[in-house]
Amino acid sequence: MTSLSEEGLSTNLVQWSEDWTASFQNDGFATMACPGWMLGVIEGNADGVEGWDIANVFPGGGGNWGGSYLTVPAQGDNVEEAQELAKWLTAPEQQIKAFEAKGTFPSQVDALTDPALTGSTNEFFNGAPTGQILADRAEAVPFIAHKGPKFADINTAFQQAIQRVDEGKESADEAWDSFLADVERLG
Amino acid sequence: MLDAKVSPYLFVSPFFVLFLVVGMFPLGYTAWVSVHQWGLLSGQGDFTGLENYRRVLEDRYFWNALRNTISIFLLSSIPQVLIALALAGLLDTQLRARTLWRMSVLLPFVVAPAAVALIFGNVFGDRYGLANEVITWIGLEPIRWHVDTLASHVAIASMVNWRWTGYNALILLAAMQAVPRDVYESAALDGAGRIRQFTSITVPMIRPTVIFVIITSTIGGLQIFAEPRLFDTQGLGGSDRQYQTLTMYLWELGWRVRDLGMASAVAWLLFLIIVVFALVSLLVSRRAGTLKGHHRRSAPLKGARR
Repeated sequence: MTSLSEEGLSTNLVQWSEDWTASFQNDGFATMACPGWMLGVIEGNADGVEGWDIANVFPGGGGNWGGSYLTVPAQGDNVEEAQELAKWLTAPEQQIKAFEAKGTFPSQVDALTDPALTGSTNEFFNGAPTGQILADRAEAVPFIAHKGPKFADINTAFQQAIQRVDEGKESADEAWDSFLADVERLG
Repeated sequence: MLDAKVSPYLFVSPFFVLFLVVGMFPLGYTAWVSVHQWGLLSGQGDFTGLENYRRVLEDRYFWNALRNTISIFLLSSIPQVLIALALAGLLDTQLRARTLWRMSVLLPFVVAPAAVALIFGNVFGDRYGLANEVITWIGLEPIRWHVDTLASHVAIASMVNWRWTGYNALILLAAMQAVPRDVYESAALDGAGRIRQFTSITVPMIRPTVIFVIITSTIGGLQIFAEPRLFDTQGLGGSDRQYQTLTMYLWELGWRVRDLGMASAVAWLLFLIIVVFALVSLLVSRRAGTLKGHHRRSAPLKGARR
C-alpha cells in the first residue's frame, strides 16, 4: 500500500490552514475536490489568479461533501408549522431562488433540471457551465450514506490519520491501525 | 459592641460569598460529576466511583497531554521569568521617556489571546510563514512548526511568552522600585558593578515578588489553552496530538467525546497536578532565593567582625 504522499501527489497541506489559504496565491495546487460551496472559497482565496477551471469528473461518479440541514426540535411549541416552513424553504422553487441570489447549490432532485441552474456559467472558472457540471455530478451520486451520531468524530480521526501519513509521521498501515484505535476510544 | 465585631466580617464577606459561588461550588460540583457516568447530552447517570479516573489514567492521550503541558510550561515559564527579571532591571534604570517604555512592555498583554494565536499562526506557517522565511534566508532548513513536536511547543511557548513577559516585568519592576536606593549607593561605594548589584541586591530583596511571579506563571502555564487550541483548525493539537495540552484534552473529552464524567476527572487531576507543581516551584524558588540572599551577603559581614 503506497500513499499519495509517497508518490509525490499530495500538496501536503492541511485544509483551511494558513498555509493552505496562502497556497492559492502561491501556485500551490494542481487540482482540488470541488463541491458547489467550494467555488466561492476558491474564487475568494485565488483572487486575481487566472487559470482555475472545473472538470465534469469525480472518482466513482459522484459524492456528497457537506451541505446544510434544517432540523426541527421535537420539544418546540409549533413543531408542525416549523416542519411546514422547513419544507417550504427547501422546496425546489425556493432553492432555485437561493441559487440565483447566492449560488447555493440546490439539494432537491427536481431543481437539478431547472434552466436557471443548468444554464448558469461561472466567469472566474473560465466561463465553465458550473450549473450543468454540478447537476451531472449530483445525479451520479449512487446513494446518500447514513451519518450516525459519531460521524464527525470518526471523520476527524480519519482526516488526522491521513494527515499523519502526509506528514511522514506514520506509514499508511500504521495510520490505519492508530485510526482504528482512535475510533475504539470514542466508545 | 456587636456592630464593631460583626461589621468587619460583613465588609469582607462579598468576596467570600462570590468565591463560594463561582469558585468552591464548581470545584465541588466537578468532583461530584467526576464520580458519575455523565454524558453531555444524556446528563447524570449511575454513580461509578473512581471509574472515570481509572479510564483517564489508562488513556494514552492523557499522558501525551501531560507531557506536552509540562514541556510547553517549561519552555514558557522559565524564559518568561528570566526575561521579565532582566527587562524589569533595565526599566528600573534612568531611562529617557520611562513611562513610554513601561507602557509598551504591557501592550502585548492587552491583545486578546485569540488574536495573538491568529497572528503567530501566520508567523509560524510551515510553508509561507515569516519565521521560516527568515530561517531559510539565513540558509537553514525550514522548520515544520505544526508537525514536529518540539518545534510546535517552541512556537506555542513563544506566543505565551510574548503575552506574559511584559506583564510579569511590570510586577517585578514595582517591587524593584521599593528597594531603598541607599543600599545601591553603598554597594556602589564597595565597588559592586551594575550586574553584581542586580544579582546581589535587587533579586534577593524582591524575593517575595519573584516567588509570586513564579507561582502565578506556574498556575497559568499549566492551563494553557487558547494558543495551542487555535494553532490549527481541528483544535486537537495536531495530527498526532503533538501539542494537545491537558486543558485541550479536557475540552476534547467534554465536547467531542461528550463525556463530562471523564472531563471532570481530568479537571480534578489537573488541579492536583497544579498544586504539586506550585509547591515544588515554591520550594525551589525559596531555596534559590535563600542561597543568594544569605550566602553572599553574610560573607563580608563575617570578615568585618573578625
